[in-house]
Amino acid sequence: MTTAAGNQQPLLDVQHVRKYFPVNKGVLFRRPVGYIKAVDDVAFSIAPGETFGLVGESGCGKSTLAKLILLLEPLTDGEITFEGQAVTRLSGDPLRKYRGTVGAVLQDPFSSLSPRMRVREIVGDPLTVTTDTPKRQIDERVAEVLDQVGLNPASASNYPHEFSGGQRQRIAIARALSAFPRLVILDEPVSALDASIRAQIINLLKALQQDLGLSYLLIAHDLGTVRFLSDQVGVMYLGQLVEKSTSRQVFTNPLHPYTRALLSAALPVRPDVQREEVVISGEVPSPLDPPSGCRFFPRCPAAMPICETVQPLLAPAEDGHEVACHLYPTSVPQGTTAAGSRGGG
Amino acid sequence: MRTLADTGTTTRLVRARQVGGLWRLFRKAPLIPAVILLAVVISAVFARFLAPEAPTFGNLSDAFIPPAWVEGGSSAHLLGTDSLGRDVYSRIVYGARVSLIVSIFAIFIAGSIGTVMGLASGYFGGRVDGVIMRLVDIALALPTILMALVLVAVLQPGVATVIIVIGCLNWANYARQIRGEVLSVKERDFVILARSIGSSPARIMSRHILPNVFNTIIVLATLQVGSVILLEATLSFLGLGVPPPEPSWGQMVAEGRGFIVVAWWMALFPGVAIMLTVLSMNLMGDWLRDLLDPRLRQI
Repeated sequence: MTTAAGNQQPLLDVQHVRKYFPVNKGVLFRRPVGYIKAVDDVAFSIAPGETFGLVGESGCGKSTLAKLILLLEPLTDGEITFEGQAVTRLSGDPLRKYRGTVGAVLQDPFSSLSPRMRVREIVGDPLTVTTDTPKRQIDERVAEVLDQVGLNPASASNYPHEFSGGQRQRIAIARALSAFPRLVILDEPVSALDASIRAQIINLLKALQQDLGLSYLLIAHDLGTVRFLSDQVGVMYLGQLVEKSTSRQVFTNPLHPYTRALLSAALPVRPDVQREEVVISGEVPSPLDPPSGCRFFPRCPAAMPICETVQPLLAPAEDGHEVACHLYPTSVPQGTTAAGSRGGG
Repeated sequence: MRTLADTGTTTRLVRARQVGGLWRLFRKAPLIPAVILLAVVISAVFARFLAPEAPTFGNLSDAFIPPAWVEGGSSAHLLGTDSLGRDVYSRIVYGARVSLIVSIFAIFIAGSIGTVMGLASGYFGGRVDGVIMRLVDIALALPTILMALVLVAVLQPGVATVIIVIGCLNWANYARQIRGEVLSVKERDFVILARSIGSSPARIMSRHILPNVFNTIIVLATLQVGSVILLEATLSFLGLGVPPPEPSWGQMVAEGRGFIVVAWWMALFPGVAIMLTVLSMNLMGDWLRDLLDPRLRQI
């Protein structure tokens, strides 16, 4: 895929975004006793025509981030800009246009299509809601996108239950594309599908991106999918990005211990070849009460004393490869003694 | 050749299975209740042709004629006559009309109010939900018949009043049930996607959620018909329903009550009509629920 030049204006820019969910207690007087920090200071951007892959364990905030970009939840803090415009401050027509310009495909194609609507209504819905297109043109557009995703345009008058899982996901993709989006959010687009169908859908997504010049935000826990589709990859842990770089760099030269463990846990292409194994123990800590310092330190195989107290910053370590880990001197915040930041990794 | 024959057999088998599937759908349909309800509907619609006499026509010299098969009965009055000499059978046939009209319209009103309340309550949640659900609690805590009596006494008696009163007293069940359904449907991905493109709450509720809770509404409505007919009969029995001489089953039972010793047929036959209709409606409702809502099966 094209690797967009760094000086290009990003299509989507996410800056210092936070989303805290209050936890209320009390019978008569409900008051917040704490906050679940689902997304805590995350920043990344997506260039036109590029794919940004987000990986991480379940519950790390990937899907919350998607919801924030789709404006399904208000931001606690931070800014999301789309083509230079702050989307959280949009209203009226520009907001309506933004809603159409960002499509979404969700995980379960059985839940994402209303069983009581015909394919025509489902696929045409974004166009109906975000534009004033006349009905006849909507029907034409529906036929067009159905053709693009490899379905028979005549199937527009059928109901979702008449299709298989793979075909349903194609309908969901057609729906996301109908209002001419520039960015499509793919939240685990293939994880509910059979392995054989999975490859078809991934290839379809790749072909659509090339044909239509789409940008993707790909959220997946399947590293193979992310590696194949993404130009840039961000690794999330407990609401924060711990590593961010090009897909190639993250997969061939992971810097963060968590990324290493994640890659090590993925099924290898050649199981007979001996690999370095990084095993992490324990569970993901509760986002209600995240560990002090580096959030990964209780499970980290390379933890040092500084990790317990000082939170590492996401900073460039080597040629554009950003990582938040005290193993790399750039991550140590200024003004903190770098004592103990040396050491093996 | 062999293959062709095999294909033929397979096609036949497939067809047989499809027909079988359709048959299985209706096999468990309760036949007798269906026939009874059909008879009630036909009576209501074609009362003019089925009843030998007008329901309000009475000849005092023909009063208290017993049913045809009882000694002293006349073949002109199959189920006998009442204290004013009116044909009981004719009045029951015409009375079906009142029962049907009242139940259809009252349920339509109750269902509409309840559905809107349930949708709003489930979809918006929070304060809206709190207010509506407390209203539901209040509505369910009120003694229905007592409230109906008070309301009918205040308003003009008549079919329209009965419909409105019953409609306004029965919405709470719908609201509560629909709310529960909406709570689960609104978390499904297609609703989340509809929100992501900025659909208005009204559009999401009407186009995305309502069609997916419609089965529940239909099932509830069917199950309510029985109790609505009973309520109408009760109100008419207490003299606050359909005003005489318009025939209504409940009112006929009330009139017959005074003559139960001398003319038992006056109260018995409309009573049997009420019982059979309500029972049939409930059985049909159970069947429909099983058919449309597989989750409630075996309960």
